[in-house]
Amino acid sequence: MSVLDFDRRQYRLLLGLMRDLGARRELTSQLGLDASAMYLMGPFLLLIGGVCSLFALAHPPPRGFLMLLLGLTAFFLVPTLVSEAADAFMNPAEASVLAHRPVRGSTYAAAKLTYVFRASLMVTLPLNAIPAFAGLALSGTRWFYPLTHLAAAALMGCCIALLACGAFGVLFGIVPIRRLRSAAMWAQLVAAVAVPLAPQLLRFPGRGPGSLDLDAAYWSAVPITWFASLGLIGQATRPLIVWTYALPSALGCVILIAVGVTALSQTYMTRVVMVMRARQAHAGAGRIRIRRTLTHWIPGRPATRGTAAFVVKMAMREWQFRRSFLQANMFLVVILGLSLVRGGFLSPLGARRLVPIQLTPHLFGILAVMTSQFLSFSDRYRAGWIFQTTPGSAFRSMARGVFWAMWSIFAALPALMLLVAGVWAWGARDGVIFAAYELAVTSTYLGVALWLADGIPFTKPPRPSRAAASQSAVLVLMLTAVVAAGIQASLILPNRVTTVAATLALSLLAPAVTWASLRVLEVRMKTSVDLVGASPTRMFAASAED
Amino acid sequence: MTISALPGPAVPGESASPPDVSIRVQDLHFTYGNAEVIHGLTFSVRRGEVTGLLGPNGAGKSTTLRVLIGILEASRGSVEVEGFSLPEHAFEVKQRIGYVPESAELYDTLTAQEFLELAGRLHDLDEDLLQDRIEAMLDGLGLLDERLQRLNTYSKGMRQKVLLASALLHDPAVVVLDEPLSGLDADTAVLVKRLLSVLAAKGRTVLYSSHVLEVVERVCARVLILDHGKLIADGSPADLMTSTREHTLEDVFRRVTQADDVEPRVDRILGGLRR
Repeated sequence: MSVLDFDRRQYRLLLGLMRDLGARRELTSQLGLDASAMYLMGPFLLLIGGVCSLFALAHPPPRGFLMLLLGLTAFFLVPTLVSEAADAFMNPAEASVLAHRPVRGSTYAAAKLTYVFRASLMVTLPLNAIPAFAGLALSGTRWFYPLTHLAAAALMGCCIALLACGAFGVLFGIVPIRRLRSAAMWAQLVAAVAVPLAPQLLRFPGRGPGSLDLDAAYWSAVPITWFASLGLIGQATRPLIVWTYALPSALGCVILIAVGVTALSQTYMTRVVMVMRARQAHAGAGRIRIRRTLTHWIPGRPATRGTAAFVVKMAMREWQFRRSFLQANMFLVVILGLSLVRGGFLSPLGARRLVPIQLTPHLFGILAVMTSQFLSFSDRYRAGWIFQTTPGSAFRSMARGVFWAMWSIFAALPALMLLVAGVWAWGARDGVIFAAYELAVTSTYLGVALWLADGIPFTKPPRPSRAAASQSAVLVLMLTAVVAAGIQASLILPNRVTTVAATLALSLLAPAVTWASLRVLEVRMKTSVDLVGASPTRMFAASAED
Repeated sequence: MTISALPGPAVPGESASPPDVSIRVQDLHFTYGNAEVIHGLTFSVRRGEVTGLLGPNGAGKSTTLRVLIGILEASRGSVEVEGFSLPEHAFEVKQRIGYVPESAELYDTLTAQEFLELAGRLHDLDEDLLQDRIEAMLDGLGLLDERLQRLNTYSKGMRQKVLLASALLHDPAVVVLDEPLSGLDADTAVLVKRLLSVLAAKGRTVLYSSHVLEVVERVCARVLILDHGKLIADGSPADLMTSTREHTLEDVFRRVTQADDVEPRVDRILGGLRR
């Protein structure tokens, strides 16, 4: 970015604007976390840091202690900062309001980077404040350890922020505009999954060539180790860095940041307008056929089929929903995929131990529950007025439509795929029994999931705080699923007769749960239809006309 | 600093336009993804004139305006505004342009006062001058009492007035309006029409895109009609009516855009309802 272009007055003005918009939750319908959500995270992070500080009582080496804290910081920072960077650099409101104003690209990029740095400090400082001082209890640390610890954490935060911004800048430069939003979404997901799973992925399917020490290569190449080394300046021990691996990685980071930030500062405004206006002209004919096939057979009134088709279409096309859904669930899918590949596609029936495939009914159940959490939210929520014109009698059919759409995706399709794969791999008997069991378990989960659905699908503005809360819900659900999987692995699946009996029992339970949930959903839909306009941004521009 | 004090191109002789030409577009092409939506537009807009930009839905009017104000880059061709070529001098062009977008895009959590302060400060207006102008604008547009209310409480027409005020606040040399009367009450619509005429009389360039042909006929000295990304008519409303032997601009528009007869289409719609 050209220093000559930098306008200090405009920089301060833009920073003030971003601060005000964040404080007033203007950005809630975008990608990032609003200021309230960030402030709410503070005490939570302080608490986590406090709990981690207890680890110091075990007197681990300072190197391990700092690496643990920085790793945890990165775990929280990467998804937060990637979201913030995405919000900072792909903001439709800013594209519309600011693009035609005389704002220098370099000034704008500098203001945005400052804003993202601030977000990074709001995560790193509360998380590391207590551990930095707890580190003084470790053997071999000197009096200035808290300072170097906090400095290392803050610098690492800034580095991750720059990398996130750089990644978006590179995407802006190389990805066709109509693909940019999807590419940004996938970049977030890959970052969220790849960073924590990188050591596992590197080891798979086995160790690399004999001359390459993958552990040393990985730990030398990740920025966490560099900053841990910085944080232990003047202390007795420091992490081992193999410069042969660290230097290319550092060079890559520098290039990424430089190219990215330059791209953002030069053409950001024009490109972001293009992004917001770029539309895929036609849905793919193949995808339309699949959706028609999915929804054609659904029983009931036209309103049921119409709602099912609407939910399936929106779930596939609505960017905000896809992003939230994938971000919440991709981790689960990757873990299951890795387990399946490593554990083998063994028959789930008759096994005397936990077989990874046994987790699939619970995984799809969790996916259904998570989907119901996000189902009401959309960045196209303003179009929800259409449901205000719907006759009241149609809401029961609409609730059923939501059920059929989700049942098709999360229960029927996976069961069908399991049936085909199972018959091929385990024989007809085991394939049919397990597919039926999977269908029954997932349908039961779905019954619960619908009870959690918050009104009419895709009619509320996205709430980032809800996405944060849903992460906790996923943890609880995963624990429940693990317990359920443990019970089924020890009591149900070892015996085929018990499995059939459980399938029959769940087949009776699932419709009862679903029936009750659909009544609740119907009432919520009727209630929410009156609240469709009650969003942070007014829905009906014309409704307040004189 | 006010816009009237802003200098012309930094390099003398850079502009190839005659002195009375404010906007010059030569062989403009524009592509969204793989689809070309503007196919070789060539026209110019003179200072001191209200020029109307007409066309059916999807003709490329809003895209053309966005290219002219420097927020979209042409895929081919040259565009010059006030002697500055785009996209190289987008910043200088944006300093000289006031733009009213098609939809009322505002920061909803700001008040009208705050939004206008933001707009004025981005244009580097002196603070005292800015406050005076904001008060004058809001008073003139009947929003003075609501100036401290957040914009998410405003009606569509009120939001449109804020957009109009933010476009005029820095006294731009070129005013580009995309459906500016949308949502405005009759009284304010009359005010805006008169305002545009006066701005043009004071030497400002006004480019006005609208579907309301009666207003265009009354306000615009010259009309450009686009269809499918091409310029299909260019002239004063009177000239166009004479050359096409039509009595109203609406008839001219329907003729040059080869619009189908209305009656069979009404029958088609009602026929569908009877099934």
